[in-house]
Amino acid sequence: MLVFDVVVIGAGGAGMMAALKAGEGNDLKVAVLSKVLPTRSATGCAQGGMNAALGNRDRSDSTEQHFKDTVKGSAFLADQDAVNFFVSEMPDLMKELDYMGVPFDRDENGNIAQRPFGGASKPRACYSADKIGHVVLHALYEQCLKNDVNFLNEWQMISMVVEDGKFHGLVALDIKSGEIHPINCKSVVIATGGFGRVYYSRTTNPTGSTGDGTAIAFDAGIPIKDPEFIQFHPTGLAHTGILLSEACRGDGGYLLNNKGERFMKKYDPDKMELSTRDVVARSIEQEIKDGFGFGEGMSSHVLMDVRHLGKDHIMSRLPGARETALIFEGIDIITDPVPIRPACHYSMGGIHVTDYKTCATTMDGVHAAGESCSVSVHGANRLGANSVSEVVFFGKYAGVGARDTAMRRTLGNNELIQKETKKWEAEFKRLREKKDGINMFEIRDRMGATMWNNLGIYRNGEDMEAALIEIDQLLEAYKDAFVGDSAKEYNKAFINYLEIGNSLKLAKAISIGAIERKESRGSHSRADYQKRNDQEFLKHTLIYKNGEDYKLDYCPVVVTTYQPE
Amino acid sequence: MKTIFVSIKRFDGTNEWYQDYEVPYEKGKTIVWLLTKIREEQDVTLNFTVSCLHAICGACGVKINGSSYLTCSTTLDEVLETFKTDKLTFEPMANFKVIRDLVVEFDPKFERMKEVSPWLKPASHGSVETGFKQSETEFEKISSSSNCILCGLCTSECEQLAKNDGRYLDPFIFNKAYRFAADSRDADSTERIVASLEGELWKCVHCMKCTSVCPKEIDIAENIAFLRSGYNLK
Repeated sequence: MLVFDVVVIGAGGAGMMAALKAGEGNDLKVAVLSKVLPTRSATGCAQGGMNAALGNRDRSDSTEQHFKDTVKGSAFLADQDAVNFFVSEMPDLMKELDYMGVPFDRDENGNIAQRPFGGASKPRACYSADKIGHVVLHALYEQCLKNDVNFLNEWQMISMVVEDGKFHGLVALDIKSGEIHPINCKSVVIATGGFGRVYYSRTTNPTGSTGDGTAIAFDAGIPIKDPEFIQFHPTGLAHTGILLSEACRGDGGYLLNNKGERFMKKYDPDKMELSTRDVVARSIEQEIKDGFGFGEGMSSHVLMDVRHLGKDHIMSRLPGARETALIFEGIDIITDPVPIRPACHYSMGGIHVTDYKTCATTMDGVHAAGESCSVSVHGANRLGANSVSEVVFFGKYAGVGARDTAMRRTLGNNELIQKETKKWEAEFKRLREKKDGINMFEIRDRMGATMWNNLGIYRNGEDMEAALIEIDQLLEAYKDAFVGDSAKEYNKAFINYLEIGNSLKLAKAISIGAIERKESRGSHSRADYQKRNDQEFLKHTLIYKNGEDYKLDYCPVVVTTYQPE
Repeated sequence: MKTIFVSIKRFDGTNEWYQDYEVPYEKGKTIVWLLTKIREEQDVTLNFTVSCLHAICGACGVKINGSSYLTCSTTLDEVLETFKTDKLTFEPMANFKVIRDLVVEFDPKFERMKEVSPWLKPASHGSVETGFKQSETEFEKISSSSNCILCGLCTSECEQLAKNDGRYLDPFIFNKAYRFAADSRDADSTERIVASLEGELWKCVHCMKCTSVCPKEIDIAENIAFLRSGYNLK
């Protein structure tokens, strides 16, 4: 049986940072499981920048302002002690990243360059062209190679072994060989990323962003916090949902309706295009609803115009955005505006982290970091450029936390882990031998359509209730889902099957949280409850799963210095 | 109604064969759309890797009619027009060990990449507490080579790798060696060059296919030439 002290699941920004810190300066056996090669992780997709109050671009910036912007942007649902910890120490972490070799754009003083970004009172998004995620991801991978981090690549975590609320170990599939392995360990960091693919039809996320770690922790009895808060990025390319960076707006781009107007002046005349993402996304959808958009139905869109920024600026600061628009819309943003429409982008909710200094969860031995969890730093709406910062920051503290946990805990019970392994070996075999059943891609597509239509940017109780009924039907249909590939080795169809199952559970959690939150806050906008209701809902949603029973609860938001306004 | 005739090289760990499919043509689609349509509607046992769908993760390299492409950002029209055909033959990228169908093995190459120390060796003018100062010009020197997404298309096209007995390092590994040798924050001037020489740097035949195929427009062949030049690259 494989035995480790610390296992990290997921090798993106949070996972690799956790692995580096867990193994630093000690003899602990650390392993990282990733279902894709580390540099294929979703962190690489982040474009615009990463926030830190360095004061390089504007000396009057401060961690206090970063704090206020983050809490305000979160619609006051963020836990202020966690936010304060994050913003205070983030500038130091930037120096560490520079020392690791991340290639940042520089200003005339040789310091890390920063740009303005949505919801930010001062320009503090540290950038590298428009590829911050890519450069950070690769630098972390390089550091992992330097430190001989033990990667188990193309391994899929299938299950956490838990008995009476106690964590014992893991069961994972080596995709290449088809062998299912029991893994005994003292602590685990779940860093499997977000779950945008629950909105399968319209998302900026990679194909594998199905929230596997979040769903597995959910199954194991750890609650999910604030799942209903889904961020729709305002500027996904109209025809594919592929991300067009907020940097286009940060650098001065305009959003235009079919009258050629900068319509944001109707919704936020102060901040215009640099209002927070929830406001901009709703504004675009409202314009389309009111008939000021272009096209119809799923082809509806508005336009992003950066022509006035000039060729030199676009080629040096927005090269990725230009390339993307060229390939996927056939448009050169130097000469033409490009069609855009909101797309599901980020999951504010996730595994409930109970201690922001160690990223521990409700279950001893289990830590979580990155988009897979909710600390909560982003509350009801995340600021652009806060995610890459947050994932490496809490990845670091999760790694340190998991290291300390491993030094304190003992290994799990081998027999229990073996038992769970045998169960999954039998299940894998059953699914390989199954000759027919319900098409799993149809289940997935129906889930995606229901979520986009009924749990999208504008919600109401009736539609959401209908969605919940549909999700329950899909969960039932899933029991007879057909994998269709009998191979043991490299069976990606089986992985898809697991991903779809994970997505459905998260879709249900999102639906329940959204239905019960009878207010509008941040990214959760309801036609039937249009106001924010701090009296009744300044609290975090918690969803618990016990077998097929889903239970809703709430927990308080930590408010320290910034009273909700 | 045009039909695209698709032939895909299959491999199940033991047997190799070409399997044929037919897909009705649709305008404005990419290659990954084609492969996904085949997989989800006709044959779910077909395997290929994709992730981000917008050419930043490097997961989706394949060979189509003998040339290497990223499936996510190559349009169907481009390939049909380039080859003036309605028959597309898919194979896994060349010069990789094949795992299954169009899925290839990268880990051994990443293991070899360690030979050129593909990480910053921080110079003494920086520290963990302060980071580094670096000028805009110095950043420009590393900005292109840092764009590498480890997609492997350069490896797939490399004429030296096609005939080498296994000692030659992949083009993307030479690019990494250059990327750090040229970084003003890096302390090393010779170790990576030596490692590249031991990796048969001088066997590059300068066919320039790596430069031509790179989806991030990195001039890999030029970076190889820089490594050979013996100049201080910083």
